[in-house]
Amino acid sequence: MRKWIQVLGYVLLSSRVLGQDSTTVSDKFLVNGYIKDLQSVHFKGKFSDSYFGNIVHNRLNFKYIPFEKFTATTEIRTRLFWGGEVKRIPGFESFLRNNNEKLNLQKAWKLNSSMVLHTNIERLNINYADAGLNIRIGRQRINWGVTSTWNPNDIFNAFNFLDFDYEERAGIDGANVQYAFENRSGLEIAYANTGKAEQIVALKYSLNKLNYDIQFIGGSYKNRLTAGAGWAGYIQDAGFKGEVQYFLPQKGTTGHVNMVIEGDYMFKNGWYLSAGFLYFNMGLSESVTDWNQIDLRLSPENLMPTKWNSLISVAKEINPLLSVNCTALYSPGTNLLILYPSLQYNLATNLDMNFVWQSFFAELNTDFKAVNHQGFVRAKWNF
Amino acid sequence: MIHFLYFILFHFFYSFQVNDAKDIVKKADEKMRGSTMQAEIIIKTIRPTWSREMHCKIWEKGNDLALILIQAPVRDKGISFLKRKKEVWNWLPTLERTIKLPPSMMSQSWMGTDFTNDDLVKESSVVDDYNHKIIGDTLIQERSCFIIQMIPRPEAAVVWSKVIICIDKKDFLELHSRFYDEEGDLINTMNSFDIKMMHDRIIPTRFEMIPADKKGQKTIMIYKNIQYNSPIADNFFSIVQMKMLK
Repeated sequence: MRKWIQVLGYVLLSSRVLGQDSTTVSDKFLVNGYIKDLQSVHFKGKFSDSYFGNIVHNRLNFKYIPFEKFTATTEIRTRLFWGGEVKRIPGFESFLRNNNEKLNLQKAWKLNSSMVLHTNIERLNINYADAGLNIRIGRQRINWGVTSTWNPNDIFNAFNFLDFDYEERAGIDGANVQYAFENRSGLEIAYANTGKAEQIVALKYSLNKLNYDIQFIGGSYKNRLTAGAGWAGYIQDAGFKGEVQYFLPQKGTTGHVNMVIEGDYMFKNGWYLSAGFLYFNMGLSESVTDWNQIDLRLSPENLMPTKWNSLISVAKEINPLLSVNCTALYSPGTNLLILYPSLQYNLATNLDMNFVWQSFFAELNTDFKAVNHQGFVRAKWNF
Repeated sequence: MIHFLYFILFHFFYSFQVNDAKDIVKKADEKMRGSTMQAEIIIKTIRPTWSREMHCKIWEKGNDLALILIQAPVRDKGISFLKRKKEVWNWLPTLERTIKLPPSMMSQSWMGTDFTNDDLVKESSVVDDYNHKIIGDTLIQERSCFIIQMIPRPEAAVVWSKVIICIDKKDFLELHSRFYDEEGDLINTMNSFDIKMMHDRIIPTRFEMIPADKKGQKTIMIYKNIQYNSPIADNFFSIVQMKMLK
């Protein structure tokens, strides 16, 4: 453990001292990353039963470029958790592993009853790029999403939109080959081994026609056939995007479909408005009796627990240092409502503060009420 | 008959002057941009109580194609923007994803500076999207300049109602510009300084954009180096390239 901290310290120091700028050690070797501190407070609906959570979070990104077309990437994410959150959840450390990763490159240490240290090699890949060809093998993120909140087309690694503290998002162990044609169309084939004989392999064809980016996806998702499409274009000056993904029925299961339509517009006074709708045919469409029935642990097949979902987000840059955002999500039927305001302030060139709030409301036993709330304060220093 | 002659003469003079003004603007524009341009730029955002600095690289080909790569500060390093005609994409390396931006974002502040997206990647053309007229002469930095009024054509997607620019008569350098909104109020003033030989031509290398109603506020753009007319293939301005810029 001490040795590990020494190594970390050395890397941080060397990247600061040797660099031409703070991230370049040499033309062939690049290091960057950040340190974040996230303080959180969690309440039950009536602001009772509160507990606190704390995370110190470090990410180190290494790039080695021995020659122009070749890049090796390693990214390490380390988090130290402590406080009520660790204490309250039995076996907290066992939930930290990304289940989509085939190889176990993570390690958790339970330091005491309320403190856990977890580290994971989040990216570990080699990349070869030549003209239109790009080949990447190893642990990586394959991001096929087009829209901003829900991404049905992101079949390799769907993410939870409430997890704002995980910008990079989880990766997979696999391979990806892309080829871009001269006419701005492209083919991409990707493979992910998620272990447990559950594999994902898919082909994507993308093109640009009439100011629209269009993509078609077909493949096999954990032994189920899947097909999808996505687009990003505009109607007059407003952005217009969408994604649809269908998982074919198999062995007694019914087909799943996720569909998103989204529009965004920037007003002349600088207010940015985005609205989105998600339809998930297997989702809940009636109110529930217990909050635990609303499972916000999401997967590519299940982007929301609810059938119909709408989202409105407004954002404004108050000044170049301060920006605010407020998102409201509402699911009719279940009457699930999530309010999600946030504020970002740039304290110094590479130091940002975030204030984030999330409130969850739902109709439980015909009674619409606040279920829980959580507030976060985060400091992030990039180097 | 005399009226008719006056009319012809007036029209001849007027159209001659219009073309003249347009030619001057065209020469100044071509001088700054070349057929292609690659540059390293420092952008300083100055406010009464703080300032920030950004370093970026920019590639441009005509009005339709542009790429911008942010190199500093480190928190934004690697973010890039691609423009192809009216389409604009943003690459976020941390998220490893491309986001297509709505066209309404073009008139907005770029990365917190006093420049709009349009100022940087030129959605509108100072030559084709305006009607030009010489309205006087002036002296700026000891250089004799034309004062030219530019009114956007009705069909042009321009956020200004009027632009006044002062262009040096000898070297066709845009030394001073004023931008007016739809109500006719002055919004921004741009001054150009540090006239130097860069690559194969003399150009101003420091531009200051000053908002009219905000005291102590400005954005400074400095060209560190610039390369004109090196061939850049149209395919360079692609999403694939946007992710690979260094």
